[in-house]
Amino acid sequence: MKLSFRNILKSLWQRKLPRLSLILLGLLGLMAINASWLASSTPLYAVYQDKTYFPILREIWPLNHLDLYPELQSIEWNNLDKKSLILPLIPYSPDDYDLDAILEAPSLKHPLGTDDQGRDLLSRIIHGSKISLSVGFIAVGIYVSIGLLLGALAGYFGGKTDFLLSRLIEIVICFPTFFLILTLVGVLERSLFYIMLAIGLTGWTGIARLVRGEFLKLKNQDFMTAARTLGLSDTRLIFYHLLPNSLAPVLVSATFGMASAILIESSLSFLGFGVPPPTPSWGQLLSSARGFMDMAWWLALFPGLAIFLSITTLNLLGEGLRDVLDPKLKRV
Amino acid sequence: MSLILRVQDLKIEFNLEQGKVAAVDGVSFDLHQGQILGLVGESGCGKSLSALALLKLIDPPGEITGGKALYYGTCPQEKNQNQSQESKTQASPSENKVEEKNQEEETQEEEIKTENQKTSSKKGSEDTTDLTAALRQSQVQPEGGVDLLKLNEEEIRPLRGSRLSMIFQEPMSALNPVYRVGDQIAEVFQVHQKLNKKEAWQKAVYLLEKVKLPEAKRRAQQYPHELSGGMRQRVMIAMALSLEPDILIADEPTTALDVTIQAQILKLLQDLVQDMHMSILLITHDLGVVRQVADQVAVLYAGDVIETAPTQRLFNRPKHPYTKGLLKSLPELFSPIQSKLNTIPGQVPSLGNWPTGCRFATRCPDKLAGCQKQLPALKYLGQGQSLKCLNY
Repeated sequence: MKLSFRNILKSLWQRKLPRLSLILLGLLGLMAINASWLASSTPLYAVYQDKTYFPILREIWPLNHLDLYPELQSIEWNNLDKKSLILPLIPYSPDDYDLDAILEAPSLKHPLGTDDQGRDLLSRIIHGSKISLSVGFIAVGIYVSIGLLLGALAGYFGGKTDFLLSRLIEIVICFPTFFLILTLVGVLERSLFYIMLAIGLTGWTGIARLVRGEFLKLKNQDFMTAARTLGLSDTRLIFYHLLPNSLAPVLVSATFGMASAILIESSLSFLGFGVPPPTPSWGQLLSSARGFMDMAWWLALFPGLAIFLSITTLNLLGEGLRDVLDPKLKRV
Repeated sequence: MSLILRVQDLKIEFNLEQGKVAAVDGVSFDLHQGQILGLVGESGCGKSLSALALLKLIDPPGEITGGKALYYGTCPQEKNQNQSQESKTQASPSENKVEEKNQEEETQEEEIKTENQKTSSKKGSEDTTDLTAALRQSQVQPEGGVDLLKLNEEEIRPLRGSRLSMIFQEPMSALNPVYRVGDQIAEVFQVHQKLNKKEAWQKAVYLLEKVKLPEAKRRAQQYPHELSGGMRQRVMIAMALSLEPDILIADEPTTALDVTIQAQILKLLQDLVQDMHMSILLITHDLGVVRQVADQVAVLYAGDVIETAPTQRLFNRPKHPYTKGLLKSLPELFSPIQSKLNTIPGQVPSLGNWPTGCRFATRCPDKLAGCQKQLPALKYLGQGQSLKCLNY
């Protein structure tokens, strides 16, 4: 069967576990994208001094840069009449502390409980998913691009190019990613950007090797000779004829890579080298739960569960993709 | 019939650990316009390699180390001249201008001496600027024509597909599995003629109709694996013909097909030669195919053309002992059932172990004393027949 994106999705959908992981991943993605209006203390809709507003627009990216409704800037929404407001599903912002509700167990008011400053845990987890998923996508995006390009060059041109690039791969493969990031963050500053960049700049070796191998296998096939007899340029041969033929294993590898990038970010945050507070990230939530293990189990359980679920989902999806794309492993 | 391609003493060597090993040495043949030349030989005798060399597609460790491939095809200037001559006969007011223009072109014409006077200006609105540059820059040989082997990568790339194109033995693996067949043909137009997607697609469908692919419109939307072997070969042919090349190199085009489809494809190739004034270099090990379609045959043995003759003459009066042996070893329909097939004793010498002198000498029934001393020179016997053998 032809390997188009649609067909891959279709055959994933026909399998039980991959379907479950697709659904979960979809939900997770939706949650991350819509975090700012799912969990916030800013109302979706408000009537204030006889005028109607959609105050949430002030917080949704990219509108948050426009400074809409400047007159609303210093309003304490909690003090207004609740009848004139429509609040988001979880009416707490991740940073809203409430000293009357410290370390509250899960209840109807706070479905996953609150932390030591009375902040709502569910809201923090929802906003944390933004960090985790964006690390996953962007870091993997960076290293897939580098890996594809370098692997393609090495595989297509061979000879000296291949020799040099292969040695480069061997050198980069020796970098311990985790400690490199620790060092970077230690020397420079704690920022999400450096984490993504460091993962991206060290993670491409696997992809590059995969692509190089695929290119070596494909470039001597008849269809390549045929394409060359038609007078096509090297660039066109590489990007139009070879790359699409070697994307399948890259897709599998990228899915697994995303899981490990999320795990790296969580571990870093747990050690206190991750995203700087107050931005919540899952690893950081876990880390801050350490001190309250004996009195607030929910603080450790739910962020841990979030990490566990997203990693498992991605790995299951990767397994599913591998089954779909590799005919040798295909079950009848 | 005018000459379109003359290959002289082509030599291809491989740089291996044990040093340079020649795989093709001394291949010479002439290809005339509108003719099918059969290049016949056993596996490994250098047929495909010679063909790829014409397009300069020999990859390392292989290397073209000698010989010439003179191409006398249409040059863009010549085409312009044909057009202006036509307009000259019609229009009188602008005659002076046309004449001036003509003279200019004639001087250009002298620069590139082409003996080939082609009257059919078949290539349409093709973008030939690259091509012109490529042909002008390259040294024009004293014999006239352009030596393809001397062109560099930038110069020969525009010629690939537009002047010389190629079809392959295995039509399954020669089409890119991830694109629809229509896309693959359209790509050629998009790259060479800078057409937009829609125009290119229409041309692709037109071509598929031309190679008599049934339901061309629907088939263009399909992927290679959805087509049968014969259909795929038709698609390959359509792709190779897309820019109306002068020379089509067909590398065992029917070997992977069954006999009925084989006949259809051969018929198609013959028709195309007539329609498009094209020349075909037909590479095959199937003497039956050659007899059916070729006008002229060149027999290769161990990297060398040992005999060339018009098809009828070669089959009726083979001269070289190897050709004779080959023809004798063909099975005959009315031979006694129990009789054994004739064979040529011995084996083809492996690469790097070619004997000095005539390479067939060790297996030759008519061997003379001088055969193993030096390679016999090419001898012309008249009637278009020539061979390399000391017996004549």
